[in-house]
Amino acid sequence: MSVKGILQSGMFYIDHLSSESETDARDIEQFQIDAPEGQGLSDYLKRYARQEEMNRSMRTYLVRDKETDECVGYFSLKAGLISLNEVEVEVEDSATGETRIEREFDTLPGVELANFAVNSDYIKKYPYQKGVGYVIFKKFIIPMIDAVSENVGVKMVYIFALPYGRLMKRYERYGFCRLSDSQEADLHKRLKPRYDESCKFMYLVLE
Amino acid sequence: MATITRYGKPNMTGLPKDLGVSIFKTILSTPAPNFHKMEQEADELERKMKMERERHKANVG
Repeated sequence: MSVKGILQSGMFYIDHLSSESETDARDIEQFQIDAPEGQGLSDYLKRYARQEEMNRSMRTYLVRDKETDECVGYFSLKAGLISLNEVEVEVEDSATGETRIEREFDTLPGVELANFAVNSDYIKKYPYQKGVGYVIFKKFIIPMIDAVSENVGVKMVYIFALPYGRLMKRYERYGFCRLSDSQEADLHKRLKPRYDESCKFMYLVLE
Repeated sequence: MATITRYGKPNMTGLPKDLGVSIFKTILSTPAPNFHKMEQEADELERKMKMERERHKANVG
């Protein structure tokens, strides 16, 4: 039996989204997200995912069932970082003992899990299959990011989660952490007055 | 009239000094999750999925 996809688990496999695949086009067209807060994820997949593949600004993967080839979910990854503004630091010259001011700038490299959704139609068809999201995260998303980190500096995986308790708890189950209340409040101040609410920055440190 | 709530992504680049340094410290002092345990949990979930699928097929068939 031929091996399906670029990576497999016990139940599923993934393929990189192809703009030329009719199967991918069909699966994207039929992909369903029932939760109202997930409509942005559905819009992205149907309207923008293939274009962003072609212009290299995102990498999207479709997850399929090994036995039935049904589309189970999708996720998108892109390179990113967080950075400090330039800060002035007093530095002592060890030879002369003199101090001078230097401007420093620091970054933490990461991979953004930009999109992650499970196909509601698949879940409804197989309601006894519990933990599909967790399996996709551990069996595919983490290994894909690990593979990148073998060759490029990656300190963390991060997401910008919609501020719904149920959703953030799910990400915490996957190992993501939140910043403190005061840090989140200070980040939100950088947004207003343009937006009413902030997505929450959540991160997971890699080993 | 229905209200619409708009969600923005916080800008995580060019963080001002005090906030940025505290966020960096928070992230760098957070331990990685137990990936080995997560792997075992994922394997167990898939094992149960397979079992349930076979059971379902046997019931339907």
